[in-house]
Amino acid sequence: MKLHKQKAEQKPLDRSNKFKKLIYDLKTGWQLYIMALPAMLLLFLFAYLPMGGLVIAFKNFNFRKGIFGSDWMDPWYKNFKIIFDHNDAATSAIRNTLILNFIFIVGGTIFALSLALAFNEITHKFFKKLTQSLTFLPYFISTVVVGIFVSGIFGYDHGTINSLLVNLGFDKVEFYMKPSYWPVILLIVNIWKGAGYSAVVYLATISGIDSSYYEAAQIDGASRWQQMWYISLPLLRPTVIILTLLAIGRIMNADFGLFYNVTGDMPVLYSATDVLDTYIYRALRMTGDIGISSATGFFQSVVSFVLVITSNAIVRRYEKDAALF
Amino acid sequence: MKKRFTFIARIVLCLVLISAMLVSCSPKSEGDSGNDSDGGSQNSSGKLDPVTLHFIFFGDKKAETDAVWDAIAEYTKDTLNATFDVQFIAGNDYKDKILVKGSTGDVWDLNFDGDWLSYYQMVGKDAYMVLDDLLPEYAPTLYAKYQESGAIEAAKSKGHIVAVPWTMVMNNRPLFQWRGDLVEEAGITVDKDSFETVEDIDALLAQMKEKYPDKKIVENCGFDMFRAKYNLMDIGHSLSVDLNDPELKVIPIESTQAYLERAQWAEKWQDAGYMWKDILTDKLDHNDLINQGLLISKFGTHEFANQNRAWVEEGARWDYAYVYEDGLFANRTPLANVVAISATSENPERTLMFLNMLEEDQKLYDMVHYGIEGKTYVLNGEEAVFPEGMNASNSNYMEWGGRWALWKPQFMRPDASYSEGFWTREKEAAVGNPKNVVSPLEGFSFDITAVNTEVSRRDQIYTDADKLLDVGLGDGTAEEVVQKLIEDQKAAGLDIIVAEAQKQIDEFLKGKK
Amino acid sequence: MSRKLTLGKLMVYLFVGLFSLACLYPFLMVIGGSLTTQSEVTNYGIRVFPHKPTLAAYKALFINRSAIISGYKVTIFVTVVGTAMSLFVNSMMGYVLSRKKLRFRRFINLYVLITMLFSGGMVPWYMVCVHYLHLKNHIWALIIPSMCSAWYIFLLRNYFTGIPEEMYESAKIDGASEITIFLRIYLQLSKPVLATVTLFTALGYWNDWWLGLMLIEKSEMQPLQMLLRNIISNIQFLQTMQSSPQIQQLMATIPGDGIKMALVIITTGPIILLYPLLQRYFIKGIMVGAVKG
Repeated sequence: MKLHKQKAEQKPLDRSNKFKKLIYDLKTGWQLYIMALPAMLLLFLFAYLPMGGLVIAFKNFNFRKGIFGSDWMDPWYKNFKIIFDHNDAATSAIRNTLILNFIFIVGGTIFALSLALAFNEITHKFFKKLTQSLTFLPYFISTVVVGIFVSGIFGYDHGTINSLLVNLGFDKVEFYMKPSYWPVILLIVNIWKGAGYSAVVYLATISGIDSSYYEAAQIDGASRWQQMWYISLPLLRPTVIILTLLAIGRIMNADFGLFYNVTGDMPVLYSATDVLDTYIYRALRMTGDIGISSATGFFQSVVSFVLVITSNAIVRRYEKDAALF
Repeated sequence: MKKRFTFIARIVLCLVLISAMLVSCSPKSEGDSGNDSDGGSQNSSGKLDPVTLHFIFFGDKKAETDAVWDAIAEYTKDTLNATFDVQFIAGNDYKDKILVKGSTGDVWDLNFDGDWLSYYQMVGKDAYMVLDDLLPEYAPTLYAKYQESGAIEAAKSKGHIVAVPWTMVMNNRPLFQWRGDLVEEAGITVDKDSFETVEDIDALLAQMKEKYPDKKIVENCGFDMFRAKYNLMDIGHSLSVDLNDPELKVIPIESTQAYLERAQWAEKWQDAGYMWKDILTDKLDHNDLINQGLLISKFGTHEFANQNRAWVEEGARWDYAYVYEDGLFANRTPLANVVAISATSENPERTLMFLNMLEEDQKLYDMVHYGIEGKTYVLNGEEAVFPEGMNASNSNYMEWGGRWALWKPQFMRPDASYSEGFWTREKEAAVGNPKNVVSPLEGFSFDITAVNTEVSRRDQIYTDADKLLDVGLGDGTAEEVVQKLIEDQKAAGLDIIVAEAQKQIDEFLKGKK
Repeated sequence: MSRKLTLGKLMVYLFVGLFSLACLYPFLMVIGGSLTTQSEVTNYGIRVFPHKPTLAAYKALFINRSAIISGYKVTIFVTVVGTAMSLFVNSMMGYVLSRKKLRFRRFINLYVLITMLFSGGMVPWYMVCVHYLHLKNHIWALIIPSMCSAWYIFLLRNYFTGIPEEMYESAKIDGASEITIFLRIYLQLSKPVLATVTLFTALGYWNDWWLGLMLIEKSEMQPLQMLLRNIISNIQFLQTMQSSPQIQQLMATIPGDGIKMALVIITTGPIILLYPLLQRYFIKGIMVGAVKG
């Protein structure tokens, strides 16, 4: 009853009330806005200003005329034709990008999470420090070097695996001629390279969990497993969600080095390993067409944007705080 | 109140910090289009205004590079009155960086380029300055040289001169090289005079494989020899023309007999074990394999067949023979190494004057190529050699990248790279064979703007298939793979590309008449 | 009860131990590979203990000692200053976005998010940096363009929202300004995530060669990574150029594969020490009693 009366009182003053509220919010929040200023300025300069260049995707870019002086492409979507116009190779590349990145996100998250939780269970201080540092090493090994190792393992003539197979009396396997092996190989390499790095984020979050929760649980007789399952994991959920959403934001962009160097750029494997970035790289190697590469980037951004907004909306319904916006 | 004050003070401090950052970024850094004069004009008394010329070369900047170019500025003070700002971009990144600089309107004067580098892309986007009037006026000696050699046609794009090519003449006619000493040792006799066809090569490979079963015999099936066999010339994007055809009809290379034959031979050689299965993925250094004697033959050209290598085995040497010497083969384009003037250059006249001086002045040539006598090189007779204790890996000036475009045969000293008379011999080899012809399409470049999507797809489809066909690892028999390639290309708009290319060639030929 | 513990713990130790070995072994191979001659690589492949070790790869990379030293100086400066500034800017923004009652919060979130998804590409970015901001050949060119990152902002925001709201409210009641709350309370309680972002940011700056390639043309100002890249690129070119016999002999002593591995070691070297240093910030129970206190 009281509320209804308040609302009735506010009704005729709606617009000026809204304005008043705006002023009030700005007054109380002004410090925060100023604190946000440096970041927003930097992002404006280095992310938003260059975004004006997206228009290159629709233009016939001539160096002398510059970005805004160049003529529009005729028809305006011509730079996009390579992706859309009955191009099986491009379609397959797009499909691979999405599927493989999705597998990477799922597999990578599960493994990194497990690793972080495992680290958390280790009490021996030296072992913990040592292993944490060791798991970080693969991050530093460039994909070129990884490619050398992979070819050393999976090569036909002298590869480690094939030599083993021969010794055991089996036939050799032509790994570089069979696409089906490679999603798995790439997944393993991707996890191996990134697990230590990603685990750090989860470790940071775990460190932030109030240890009184664990103590209370222990007093109640919960095992370490139960503590992990009922305390650690739920409290890690927001972090996992945020990292996943951020990863979805990059889902159309592939780690070029991984796909190009580790597969040895072997054409036979393209049906399973060719991603949009490597495909466009090969297509534009001789022509160097900036319009087409800009169009591809634009396409990737739009798809990522749609996927992120959708996922974000889904997340908002269940875990409002973890949503990106 | 106090709290508010400290808070405001902190915020102000932050803002001051940020604006200080921005301000410190604003002033133009030295060397960034800091020209004084306007277009290198001479004032009324005939004296030149001082300018700074910005050059971009390929590779690594050496320790004494700046000192040498300061000395050059000193030497040319009266004739040029220019100081030089010389910059180097490393090999792998050269193409990308130059394209970015060109596309964003960066200002510089002269840069190195080549048909194997970024020349066609830059020219396609009008990044290089048109020199039709400037070249004859400010570099008359050079211009005369080009007219004499016919290189002026090559330097043209869409009818206008846009580059300053090198003046060397050479032909990369294909030949087959093999380890002469190993072949002799194994008792294999090779009659070089009758060594002419791919069948001859095949026979030799078989013999080598028999005698040296553990060695890698060859690394690919050289396509150039089939081009020579069928008188084909490559015009880019895997399109060719028949040199015997006066109309120069455009032929997609995958549909030729030459391509099919090459695919079949490659397949045969892979199956026979002359090549090896991991060749594409094992990332072995083929140069090193050759040096070590683990790879014992290759397809090559005159320039490389005549050079010594860092052989590991004593007495190792190449023997070689030309194949299909009766086929027509085009000379190497003068666009192999060029210097070009950026469309944004503010001193093209001065730059051209410099290039012209290089054509006339031995002393300037020495300074540009070898540096300062005593400091970066010493004279050993006529030869320019490294000073004591120095070699190519720690050179303080010599062997700089990009100098190839500025080689002048009339001034070249024999040096560590090329012995006495090397380039004369190259030229003789090129003009010696009557079947070595100047390309009828010199000065033509296929402008792909109208068909950029189709050409990009074509390039990708072609390279993906060709990579495998070259080493006989196609997915299926050679005939099947080639047939699939032909079909894929047709489906990706081949006819549109061919029509467009033919149209441009016809126009070009009409313009020549 | 105790038996279950042992088995579970054993599995955990095994899992972590095996994975660590799987990470260590290839790295040992990289070290070994950097000490291997090219001929050994060609004939026997890469091994942890080469039969005829050689320092040729390292010698080739360090040939121009003064350049390498200046490269280290540049990179160290850029990493230290860049990390500090970047951390400050990103965490401040993360804090702002964690204040739920902030008006236009959704807008600012979206503003930050979009920068992560859309990019105009290399050409316009270069134009902005060089033509509008005149960042060429400047030490700050190696720091500023990558200073603000949406990814870190979201990570930090996520952590800050996890800090109990009571801390903020009680401080507000005491009359503290936002920046004071941020500096005195939130930063103190966020050591783990700050250590994380410090580590990642420092790695980013340390490994960066892209900014050096695009924006720096003076070789004295090149960061270490760019210099090493140039050296390798140059060597590779000389090796394929097949020039004079002397050059050939010389280039033959430089192991092509070894040099790639040596590059990994040199660039990893110093920075790998950062992680152990930061590990002490991953202490559990930092939040104990924070609310009550």
